[in-house]
Amino acid sequence: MGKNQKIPYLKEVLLYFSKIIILLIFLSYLVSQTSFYNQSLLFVFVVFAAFSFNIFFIILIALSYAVCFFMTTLVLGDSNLLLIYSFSIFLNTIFMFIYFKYKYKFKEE
Amino acid sequence: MSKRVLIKIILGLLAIIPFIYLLNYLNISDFIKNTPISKLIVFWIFFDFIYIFYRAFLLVLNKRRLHSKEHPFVSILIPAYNEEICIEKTLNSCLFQTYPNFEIIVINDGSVDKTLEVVNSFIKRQEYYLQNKKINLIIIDKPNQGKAAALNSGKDKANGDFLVTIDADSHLSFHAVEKIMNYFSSEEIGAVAGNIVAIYKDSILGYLQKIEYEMGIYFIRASQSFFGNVLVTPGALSAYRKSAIKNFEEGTLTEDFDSSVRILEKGYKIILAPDAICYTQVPLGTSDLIRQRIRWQEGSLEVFSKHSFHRKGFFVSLEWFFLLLFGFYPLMAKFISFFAIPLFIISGDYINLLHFIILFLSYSVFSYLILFSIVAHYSHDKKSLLAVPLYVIYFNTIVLYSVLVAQILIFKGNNRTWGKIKRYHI
Repeated sequence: MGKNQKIPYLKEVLLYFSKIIILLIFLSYLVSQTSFYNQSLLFVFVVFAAFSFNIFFIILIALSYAVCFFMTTLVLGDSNLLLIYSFSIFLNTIFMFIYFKYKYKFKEE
Repeated sequence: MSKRVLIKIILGLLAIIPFIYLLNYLNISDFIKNTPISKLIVFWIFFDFIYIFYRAFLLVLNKRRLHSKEHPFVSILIPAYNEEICIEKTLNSCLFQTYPNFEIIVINDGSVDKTLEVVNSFIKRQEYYLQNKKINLIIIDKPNQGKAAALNSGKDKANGDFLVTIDADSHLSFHAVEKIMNYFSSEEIGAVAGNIVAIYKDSILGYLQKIEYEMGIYFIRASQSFFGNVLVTPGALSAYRKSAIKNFEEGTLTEDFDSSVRILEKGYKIILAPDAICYTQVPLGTSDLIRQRIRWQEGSLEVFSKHSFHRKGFFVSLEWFFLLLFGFYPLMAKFISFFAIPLFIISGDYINLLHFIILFLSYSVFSYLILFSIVAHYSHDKKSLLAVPLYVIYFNTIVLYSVLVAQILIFKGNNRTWGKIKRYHI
């Protein structure tokens, strides 16, 4: 990096990371009071949620959390973290694209 | 693809045995068993390998395409915005093409520098040659509306049934138009993507981009070309059948990606012309590179979101699916894996941190060695293998950062047009 060059969008990225930390602390406390707490899934949820607080997007990724949590408790068991982690990220990525499609549909209309 | 490359792929597969042995020796297997985040890395290692071998498999099957010997009239479109430094070289390379039947259209998209004066003085100097060779050089001067709008203006004025689009900061090899036009061997081919070579000017960052471009051409696009599903026709050099492209989509960040998807939607094929070479300038500063990559990533996310991929035939849908599965998903997985580093530091778990770094670096270097050796077979640049560690540590971090920023920006819904990088004389 040259002397006069700055890392572009550093402020946005730092803001994003701050959102992750705040959300993680806040939600960890909140969800741990209930019986739906899973640290790994919550972490994946927070990484995606910090992108946008749009209600439709939050519903989508909360759905992903619910599906993965259901899989963890009822089907796979807590030992298979690899599959849960990976599936959760995959589902969230797909939901992210569904949200983009919804967003562009509105933009074009 | 020759048998030699196939042997290299098999050797690459066999090389995984000492790699696993090394990981075992370093007690990484215990680390993988005990640390959840490491399992995620193992999972994307698995995904990356499937991706590499899927592409390599298509390369093995790839065949030489029939060549057309006809010379239909071609319109070369050069959209330009503030390109006073490079446009003369671009025009020179277009003018002295071996292809016999073409016109050149320069679209000045409201440049605020001396682009227009440079083009006018070029025409004056080459007047005799232009008349002698009966080459029509048209200038369109319009207010600034973005690259896609500039291309549309050029398309409206074009007399040819085929359009060759070139970036004003790029220059062609003298056979480029002839070579690229050879690939329009049947009516079903709607567009042909050229081979883009990065001019790196002894810069390490430039050299890494040159290797990346070569991977894009010889590995990804060459394998996509097998089914005629090249997803991106690069803005630097592409040829289009005029009837296949209605308009270049305005208001998008990557009009080249968008237009190729529209062509595929119409049922046309898009193939690669590896022998049609175009030299292009690449950003030589990290900051410029990050900005360019953010625009590309934002553009691909935008195109991916705008188009439905289930209506374009099985293999196009498959490419889209792979783009999601192997393009975005492992990046998100990698990004989430990186959160492990501060977690290890906070918890004082330095042994696992070391294991994490060893696992990440050794795997990345290993997989890129396989990739680079396949690409070096085509580019004849064996010294690129030495650049693997730098590529993994430096270049991949830039790309990962750009993907992250692109996602943040696309959620915010930013709109931008021409992506400008610092130009230099070549």
